[in-house]
Amino acid sequence: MLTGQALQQALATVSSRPLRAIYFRATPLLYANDPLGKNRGRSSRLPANRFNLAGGARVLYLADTHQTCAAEAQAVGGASFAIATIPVHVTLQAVLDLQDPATLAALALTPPQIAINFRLNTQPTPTQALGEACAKYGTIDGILYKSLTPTGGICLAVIEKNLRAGASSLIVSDPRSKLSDQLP
Amino acid sequence: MAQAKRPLASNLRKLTDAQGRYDAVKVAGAFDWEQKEIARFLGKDPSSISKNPVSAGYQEALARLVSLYQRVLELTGDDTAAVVAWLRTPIVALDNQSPKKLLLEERSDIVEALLKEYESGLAL
Repeated sequence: MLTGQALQQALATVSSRPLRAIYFRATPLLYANDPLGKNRGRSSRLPANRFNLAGGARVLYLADTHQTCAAEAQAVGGASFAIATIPVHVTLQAVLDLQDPATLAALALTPPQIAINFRLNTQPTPTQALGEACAKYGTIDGILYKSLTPTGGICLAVIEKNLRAGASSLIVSDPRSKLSDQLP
Repeated sequence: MAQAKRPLASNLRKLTDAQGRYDAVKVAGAFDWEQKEIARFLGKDPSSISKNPVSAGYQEALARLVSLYQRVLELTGDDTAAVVAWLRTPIVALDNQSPKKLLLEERSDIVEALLKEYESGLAL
């Protein structure tokens, strides 16, 4: 896995693509009135996740289907809680696809590195370094990767800082449940 | 289900003595832990827990444990049995270790981090 300047250089040349689709966000029902997680990190620093360090870049995690969301939620211990799965209209301009071998090769990243358990790792993982570098580089607004659950679904990590008004957006609009929000 | 009834963390007084000090035996009851398990969590001998379950030396660790319990209770909608189940269920994201196992191995920081993560959504 590349780091530092080499990673920044790779991000400048690696291929990315636009993405327009509906993805889903799984959240405990308790926090569903904040469908895009804008309040997270306000009372305490943001927790680490697969593509961000604790207190680092704001990254929102979505999945391609309800089934993938359910499997992801169960894998993190959410089976005991009421879960909300919220549809999000995604419009992104520059998405890295980590399912593409050419992208992985350009970043010198391997599937086992993507799967490293950041929760039990004391050192930053390659995916956390990648997410933070994307936020710093300023162009990449999303990272697609295969769900680590057996569903075979696809997950999307959205780099919030790189969402550009008028060009890229995340929109939740469900008048019946009075859920409405937008990023940026 | 009578056996699922445990002290409600929403009423913390049930886990303390008259002076407001957390009682290790009562906290163990809320978690459905044996006395030897709460003793292990506190790094003490079970007999010392029996003698003085509200020792000043236990208060900081017990307060963190109760805080953690409350956060899970909130997520479960005040379902105390679901909290107990969550604590003892292996979680894939923790390499199939249960929160209880990590708490007893002095790795409560990992469990606390996972709970914070829930506020940010649920993703492996």
